[in-house]
Amino acid sequence: MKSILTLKKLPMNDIDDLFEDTKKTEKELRAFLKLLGSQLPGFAFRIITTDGKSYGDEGADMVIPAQHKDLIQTARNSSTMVRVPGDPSFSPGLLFIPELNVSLLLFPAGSVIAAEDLLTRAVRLSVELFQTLDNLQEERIHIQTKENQLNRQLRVLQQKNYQILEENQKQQSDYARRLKSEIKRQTAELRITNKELIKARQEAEAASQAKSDFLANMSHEIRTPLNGIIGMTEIALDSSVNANLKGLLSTILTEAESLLGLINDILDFSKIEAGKLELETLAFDLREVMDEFCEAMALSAQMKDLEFISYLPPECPSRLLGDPHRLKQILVNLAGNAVKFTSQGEIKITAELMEETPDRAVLRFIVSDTGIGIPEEKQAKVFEMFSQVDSSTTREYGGTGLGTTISKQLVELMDGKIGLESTTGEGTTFWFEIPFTKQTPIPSVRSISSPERLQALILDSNPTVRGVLASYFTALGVEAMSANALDQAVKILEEAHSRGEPFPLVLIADHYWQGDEKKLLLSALKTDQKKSPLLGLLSPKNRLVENGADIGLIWQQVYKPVTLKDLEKLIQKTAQKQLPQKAAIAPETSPAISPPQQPLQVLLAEDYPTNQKVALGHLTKAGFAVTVADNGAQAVEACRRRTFDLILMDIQMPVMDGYMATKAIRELEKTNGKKQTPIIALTAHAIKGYREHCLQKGMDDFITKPFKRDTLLAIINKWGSRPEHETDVPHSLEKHSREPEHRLQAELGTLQETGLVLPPLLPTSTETIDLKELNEIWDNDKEAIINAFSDFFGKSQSMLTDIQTAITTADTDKLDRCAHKFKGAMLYFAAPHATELAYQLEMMGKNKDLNSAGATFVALVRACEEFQICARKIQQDLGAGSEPNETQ
Amino acid sequence: MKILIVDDELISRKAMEKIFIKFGECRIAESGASAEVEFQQALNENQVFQLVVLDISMEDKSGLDVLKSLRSMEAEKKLEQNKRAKIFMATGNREMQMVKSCVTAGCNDYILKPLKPEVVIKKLADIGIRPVGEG
Repeated sequence: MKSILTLKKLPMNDIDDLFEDTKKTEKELRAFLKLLGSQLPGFAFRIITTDGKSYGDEGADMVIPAQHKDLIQTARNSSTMVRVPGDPSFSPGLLFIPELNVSLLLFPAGSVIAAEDLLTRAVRLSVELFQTLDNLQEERIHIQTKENQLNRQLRVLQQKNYQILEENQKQQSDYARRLKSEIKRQTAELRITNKELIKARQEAEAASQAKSDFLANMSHEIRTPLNGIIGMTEIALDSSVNANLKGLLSTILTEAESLLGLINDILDFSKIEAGKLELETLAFDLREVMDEFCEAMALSAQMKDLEFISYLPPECPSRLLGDPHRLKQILVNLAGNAVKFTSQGEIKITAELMEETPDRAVLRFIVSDTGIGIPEEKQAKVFEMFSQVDSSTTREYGGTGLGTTISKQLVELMDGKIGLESTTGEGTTFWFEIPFTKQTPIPSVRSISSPERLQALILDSNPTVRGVLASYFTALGVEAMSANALDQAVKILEEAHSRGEPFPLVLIADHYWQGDEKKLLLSALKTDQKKSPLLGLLSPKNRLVENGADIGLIWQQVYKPVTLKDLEKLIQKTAQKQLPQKAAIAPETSPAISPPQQPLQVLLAEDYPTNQKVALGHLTKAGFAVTVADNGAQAVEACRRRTFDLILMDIQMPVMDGYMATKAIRELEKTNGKKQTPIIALTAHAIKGYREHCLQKGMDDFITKPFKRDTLLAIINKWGSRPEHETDVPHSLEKHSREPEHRLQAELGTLQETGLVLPPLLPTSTETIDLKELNEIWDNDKEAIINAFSDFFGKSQSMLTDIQTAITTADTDKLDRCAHKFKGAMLYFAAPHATELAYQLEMMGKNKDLNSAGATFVALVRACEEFQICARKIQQDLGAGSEPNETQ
Repeated sequence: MKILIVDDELISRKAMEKIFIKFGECRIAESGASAEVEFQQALNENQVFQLVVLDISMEDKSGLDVLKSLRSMEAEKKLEQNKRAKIFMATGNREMQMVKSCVTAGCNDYILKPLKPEVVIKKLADIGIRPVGEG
């Protein structure tokens, strides 16, 4: 039993079940009998259960007598086999089997007799075997069940797994779907946001544009009264005798002028910001520009006792195409800063040739000072908007901080670059590089007719000054020696004298020209009475070398910075030895206003009262007889009554504007057979192309308001004096006869040099703009037409300039393309005449034949002019007639 | 439909944009070079232009050169024939010689300058392109 229990390893209730089973099932008992039969083949068996039933071999049944019931009980109480009484050779044994709760009858088969205990053991073993088998069976069933259970569990789990997977998949696809729609939604949102952003940006740009425009307009509006203040102050200064008052007035003047400077800066800045600043392409002489600029700038540096040096290498190409005014503006900005931030030392303006091809030259301009410098961490910010090094700088040195920003923008507009190097406390060097187109070269002969080779001596303590002068001298074919100290100079002079070759030209910085030093120098210079040199005393503009007249030497004050031209003049003087007896040339105090013999008759047509007063003040003060007209009509009327020597004509006037008035006056002159009176336009803005415009309108010259006294008087001097004075006028503009065509041709500059003759202007086309066609092209959209015209007005001048440049530089490819472009615009404006001319120019470019390009260009300019008038009229007509319900 | 308008002259651009905006989304290129950039970018993003209107001469490049480079971009991308852009040359009436070269170089047609809405609508209808909103 024990072993069975351990074998089964079943829980207790299972054992109980087993007993229950053994009691009941006949099937099991029969199985047990079968087992016994196979284990003990010599016997027959019969089982008697407690409830009296018996199973087993048939023969055995008969031998159980009823009286043997007691015997069964005996067997039950005994653990051993009980013999059934009877034939001992055939007596069956009775054995109780507690495991099955039955009694077993054993019949020996045949004559087999076995020992009882042996038999008992065999039976018991069989029982044990049976039970073990049974248990095994049980266990197998149990295991089977378990297996089934496990299988079921597995299936369930598998199913669960499938479900989960399915769920997962579903979730995933759900998620993907959601993600997709989310992306879709967000994309849509983004698109909307983008649209909004674009709209916002456009609005912001429009607002910024509006602000820039406003700023530009305001600045302009501010300038007009400010001009009045400056003008009136100048007049007051001139007429005041009270020294106190003069002091006050000149302060007002200085303040007003610096205010004007600021406003100009702001105006420029806002123009650049609004993309409205257009550069001109003019033929100019760089050396002249540099000299002019340095002359203006030097004084402010020299007032602070700074050395001011300018140097343009003699070999540097000087006849260039570009915008000289803007170039000057950059130089003024940078040099102005240099002067402002330097208290001792020198300001140096130089140019270097970086690159040169036959038609281009890249120049680097360098403005260096020995001022306070810019800390390294602030250097990057210098070109940013509205930044001075710090706000305290603004307090100490003033200014808007716009100068460098504007300079950078201008340089970039010119396709150049700008930069700076600086060490705090040592100084700053600004540089910028600009590529220029060179003018078509004309053979230039720089003829310095020095019969013998000249020698010159330079005495100056500043090495840069010596270097610049030496370089210029070399270029002019003069052998120059330099001395950096007095004794050295004296020694050189004496040696030259002893060689018998005294210097014919000696330049000495004026600070050596006093006291003992002066005496030493004088004696060295005067050793040879017959061959005394020409002495040039180098001085700042603000210092007059006074004690010279008595020295018995021919001398001249030479202002610093010394230019190549100054030296040329000195050399000529030296070479010709035609030195005037009284050589001291005093600096002029103010521009020479030669008072006319008979007062010049000037007509002033100007409607703005302050401008009127200012001009009137300046003119009468200068001794001119002035007649004032408040508008164009009055001006024409005045001309009808009498003749003037000169007319100053404002452009924008009420009743009749300056152009109309000029036209009327010119017609008047023609009818009366009178010669043309010079008419000077007074314009409010120096817009690009304005000059050409004025010239085409029959005017002779123009000045920009606000005009200063000096500019006003200078231009009157130029035109008021008779035309015979033309010879020494340097610029081309004034030289030409007053026929508009000729002037235009003059404007073409180099074209004229190629010997072009203008054909008569083409007859005005019958129809400048074909309205029907125009409407067809623009689908009757009035607004679009008006806008397109305005767009074109903004572009036309630069397009024409491009064509002109192409012609003057003989760039046929460029002409082809620029003319094509122009033609494109004209086509869309249905302007057949202008289209035709542009087409002709395009073909000339294609065929590389520029023979009549100049003439055609002039015709195109005129056609364009006509076009603009016509277009403006159409604009007005459309603008006036556009009712909301009419459009569409 | 995506349309690329190429002209270096402002007024022409405005006039053409006004016409073609009725046909779809117009991109404007102000030079030959920028037209090429724009076109290549569209190709790269698989958002090709269906229609290109190309001025026959520009300051930086001729229309013919631009046309050639657009076609070679399409070829390089191995774009199927029916997906390639219709390229119209905008030309003056005296530039026919040039137009011939353009036709050889693969332009689809030319339109005389100044382009007029009526003419353009007709021309495009011929190749089955109609203003947006008219089917």
